[in-house]
Amino acid sequence: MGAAPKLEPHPLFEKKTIEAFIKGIQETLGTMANTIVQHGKPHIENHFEMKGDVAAIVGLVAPPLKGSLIISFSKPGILQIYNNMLGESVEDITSDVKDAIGEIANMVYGSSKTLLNQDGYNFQMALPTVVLGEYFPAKDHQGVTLVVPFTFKENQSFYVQMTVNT
Amino acid sequence: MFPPDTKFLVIDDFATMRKIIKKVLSELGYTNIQEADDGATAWPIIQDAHSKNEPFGFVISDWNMPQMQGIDLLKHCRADARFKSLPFMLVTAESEQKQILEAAKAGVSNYVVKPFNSVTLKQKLEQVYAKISSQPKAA
Repeated sequence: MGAAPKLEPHPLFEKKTIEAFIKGIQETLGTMANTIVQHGKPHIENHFEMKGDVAAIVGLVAPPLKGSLIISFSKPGILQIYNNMLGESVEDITSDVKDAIGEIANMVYGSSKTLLNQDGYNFQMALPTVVLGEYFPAKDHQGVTLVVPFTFKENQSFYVQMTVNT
Repeated sequence: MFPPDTKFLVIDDFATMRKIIKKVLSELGYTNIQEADDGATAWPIIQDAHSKNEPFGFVISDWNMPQMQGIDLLKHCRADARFKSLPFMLVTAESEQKQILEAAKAGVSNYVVKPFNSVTLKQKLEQVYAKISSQPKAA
């Protein structure tokens, strides 16, 4: 079995980019959902694989860089966050839950983008889309994916994944 | 603070954010709240309410929406004598200097950066009220 690939020197996978998205996640879920999250070690996977049951995808465009930000949740994880955020208990991934995932991604991207653009990047505005089940990245996706695992109370987890397009 | 019968219009393409803002407004005692999912659908609602003599007293709008962005709705309002001084707050994930300047130039009453909590939203509403209260009334 080979060693896990090291972080690629791709600009989208730079330390400050990863830190900005981690901060965006922590701020968004902490402020809007009173949910304190911890992140695990960022690592690279050779192939993209959607980690959760439902995900929000944001197209990353920071010329000349292109890629996708994918925030994927397990069903119990997102239902817990939804409850924390809106005070509503639901048992399934309804259209309201999907809407909340989209808004979470919107806020995460917005706050991370602000940090990064203050640091010399030029990330453009983007509207997230939400997918339930399988997600296949764009055809020009390079395969390699940055993965940051997150955990929160009651052993819940979710993932932030970043892919790079050519 | 704005009186409890103030009529609010909350505009966001995400129902979640409309729900969160409505929840905060309700906690503050406001019950006359209408919603729109985009600037393009909000603009006729604002005009219609005015023509029915039931005008909105406060607009809270997202910036980044698919059909008509919040900043463009604000510009429509400020270009129309009827809505020149309508309190208008932008709620947005964008907090870069150029965006804040653009909003100020377009005549925004206040600006809330997402993510935010209910305390922040309340403070922003109070700031708008204080600003309006300190302005001399038109003759």
